Amino acid sequence: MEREDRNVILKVENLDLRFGGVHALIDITVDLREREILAIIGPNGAGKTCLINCVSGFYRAQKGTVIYQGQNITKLPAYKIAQLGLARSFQNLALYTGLSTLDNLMAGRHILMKQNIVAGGIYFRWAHKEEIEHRRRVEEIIDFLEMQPVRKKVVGTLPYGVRKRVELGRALALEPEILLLDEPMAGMNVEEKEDMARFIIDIYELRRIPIILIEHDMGLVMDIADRIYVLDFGRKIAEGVPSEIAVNPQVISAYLGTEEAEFARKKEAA
Amino acid sequence: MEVADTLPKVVRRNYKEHPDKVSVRNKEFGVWREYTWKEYYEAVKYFSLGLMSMGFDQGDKLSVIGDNEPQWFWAEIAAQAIGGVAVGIYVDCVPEEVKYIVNHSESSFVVAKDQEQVDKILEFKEEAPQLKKIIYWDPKGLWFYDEPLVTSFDQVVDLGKKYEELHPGIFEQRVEEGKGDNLAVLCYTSGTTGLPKGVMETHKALLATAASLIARDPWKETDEFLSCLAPAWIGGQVIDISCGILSGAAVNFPEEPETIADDTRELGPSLILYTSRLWESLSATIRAKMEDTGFLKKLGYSLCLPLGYKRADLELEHRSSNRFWKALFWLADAMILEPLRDKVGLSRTRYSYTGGSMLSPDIFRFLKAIGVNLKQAYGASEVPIVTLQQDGDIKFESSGPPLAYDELRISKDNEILLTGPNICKGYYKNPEATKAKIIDGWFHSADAGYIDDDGHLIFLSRVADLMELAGGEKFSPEYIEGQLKFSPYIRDAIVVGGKGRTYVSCLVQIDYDIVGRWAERNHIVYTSFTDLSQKPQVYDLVEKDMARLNRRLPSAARVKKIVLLDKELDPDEAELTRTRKLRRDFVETKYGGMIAAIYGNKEEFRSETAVKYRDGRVGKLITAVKIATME
Repeated sequence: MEREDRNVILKVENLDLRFGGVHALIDITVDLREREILAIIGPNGAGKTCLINCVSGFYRAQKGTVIYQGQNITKLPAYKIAQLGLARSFQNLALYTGLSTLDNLMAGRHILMKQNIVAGGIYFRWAHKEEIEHRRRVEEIIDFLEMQPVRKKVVGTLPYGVRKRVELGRALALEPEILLLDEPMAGMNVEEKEDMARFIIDIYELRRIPIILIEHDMGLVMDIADRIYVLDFGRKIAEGVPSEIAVNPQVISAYLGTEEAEFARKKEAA
Repeated sequence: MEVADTLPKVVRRNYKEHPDKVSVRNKEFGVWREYTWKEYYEAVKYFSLGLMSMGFDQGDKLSVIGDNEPQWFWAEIAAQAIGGVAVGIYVDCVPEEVKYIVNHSESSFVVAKDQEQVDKILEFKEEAPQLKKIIYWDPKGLWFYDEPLVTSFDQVVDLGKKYEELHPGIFEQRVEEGKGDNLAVLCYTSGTTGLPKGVMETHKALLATAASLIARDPWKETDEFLSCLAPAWIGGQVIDISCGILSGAAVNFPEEPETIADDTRELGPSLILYTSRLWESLSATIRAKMEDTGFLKKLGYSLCLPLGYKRADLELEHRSSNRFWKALFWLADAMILEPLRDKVGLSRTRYSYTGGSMLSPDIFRFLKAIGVNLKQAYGASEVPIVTLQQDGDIKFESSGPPLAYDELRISKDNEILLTGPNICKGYYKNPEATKAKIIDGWFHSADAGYIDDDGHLIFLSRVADLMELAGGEKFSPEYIEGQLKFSPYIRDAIVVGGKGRTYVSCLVQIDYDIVGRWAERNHIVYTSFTDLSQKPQVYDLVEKDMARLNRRLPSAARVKKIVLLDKELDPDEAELTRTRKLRRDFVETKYGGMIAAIYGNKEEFRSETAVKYRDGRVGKLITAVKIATME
């Protein structure tokens, strides 16, 4: 199916974000459609994380709207947005370091739990039953992300690459309808990156949910993304399929500097 | 009583005798899932029928590749029930190796655990025209494979159920037709020399070996066994599969290879077979954790461990202890050693076995000291398990006396020759190799060893690695190295000698931590490994300890000259394998100058070593290394 025929799931229109004198996002318009992995790339400080933060309700944009499945969520608080099915992971990790992997994932299911604190505390039969159901789902995620060896290990003691995986697992535990991943592969070695890329593709294949991915590693982005959106200094400089982005002179100059871009152009001409 | 002379018949016997007893237990989604003998039998039956419906017939081969899980065992028994042969492939084989084994064995079906393994086979499907199906049991990542060759384990079972309606009784009939002399398994040897060879094992050989092992160490139906060794290896075939089925004990599968330690703790198995690597990592973990523990526990440990060692030594020397010592041993066990075993999940273990390569003597002694009833065995793919250490008669350098029926002798070249009812049928499609290795019914192992006065087999090394000593007698450098490693100050030792050299010398890598600590206690200032290794006091220390160990060796094998290496041996520089095994030829070439200096009666050698850093740069290290002569 052509992209134009697919439903728009998330639409960001004319988004503007300022911190005092810093203009972090300038007139950003982007949409995410069914069945696609959209990568957002750009140099440091380009505003990638700001964009995700605006979508997930962590920042309030001064102007513009975020529409999710026809509903305006621009002004909604973060927990309500999460309840609507937008799950995210954080670039610098936001896990409960004192809890085990299992408990972190169970915490991720909190918004799906129906029993209140009293029922849970007394552990009524129905609360018990609900807990077992959630545990089953969490165990499936542990199996899916191959985290069995760290199931009961305290997250604070785990290596960085594994914590990133726990973070992804917790986002999945929310049963999301859109996944927003903020640099899931930052700081990883090549092998860990490949594992993570495989997990992202598996999630996408199994659940068919659209994914927004922020990533620095261009090679990986080119491999797994369907579309790429390029930011520089808070502005969009390009948007398109990976093959277009790879040869876009503006993208090259943003990534490699103008001189290099000039050089690349000359080389191509020759 | 009916004769159960094939593995499928033994499974049928178990099913008839105890349909509701647990046969295997597998950890799935964090929960131990139990399968009774009835479920086991039915899984085998319907998978087997499914295979038949797809054209698998008598004599056909079925390859299996994957981690230890029930489906691995079921697939094997299902193929054997039809009269087919199972071929085990190690999970970490690269596609090239998998292709060789699948094609050489002419496997028409491959059972592969997951996406990773299925992909390996799809990579060469054009070059394996005999392939009819690839059957996976873990669907993760395979949901959207559009490949007619690939199907799932459950789909095959469903096919089997339909097939039974059309052909009732055919499975039972096929099982009945099986004979003990039929091929059961092809075990491909790891092939350190040339291409892997498929050793043909019969049902009779597997069951005979299992029966004699159970006769020495009675396994019971109530036992819990933890299975973590690859069934592609003969040890896994005999112990995990054959002994498990024959004794009716429950076989448990760890969740993932990485969770073995946690799963052992959860399960508390009564029987366990670990590789020597796993035993090594277990003892390293215990030692490291005891270093980090609190004052009181550390004190208890440091008081009780020597008692454990004393108990182990007395047992190894077959000496009994008086009441005073017995009381102390009991106390040490109750206070520290038993809780320690409990922490690693070995408190209920009756028999533990080690497989793969030889376990280093100090680790063996340590495990004995904390009260693990560990046993070594000796065997080959061609004649599985020939000797096994016997309760109450254990020496740690020996592999124990032969099992009841096995016949064993030593040729005049020190080679171990084996025969018995469990000898294999030769190598698959390789009569030349069969003829070369099995002569007059004796398998020539190419291993060197001797039988001591008590009838125990002592394994030395490969015959090719034997070294000729000055007196013309042959000895194994590995054996000497193993003995030298009893010194706490020696981390690694490389023994050189052999033809044209009148004495044995040794390159020693000191244990940096232990010697470093010793130096601190004795106020010896040092800056680096290189500096420490060349201190005269360190030379004195190592020489003194080596003199003690030398006395245990035959006089011709005693070390005469030593050099303390000025750098640590490193897998990154190809001196050791990744599993920290010495690469002797390489090291002897690399240190050729040093060895020449030793035998040239020099007192010093200027060593120039190229050091490779992790980022790929190469540096140079120049040191004057001292050559010491032992008194």
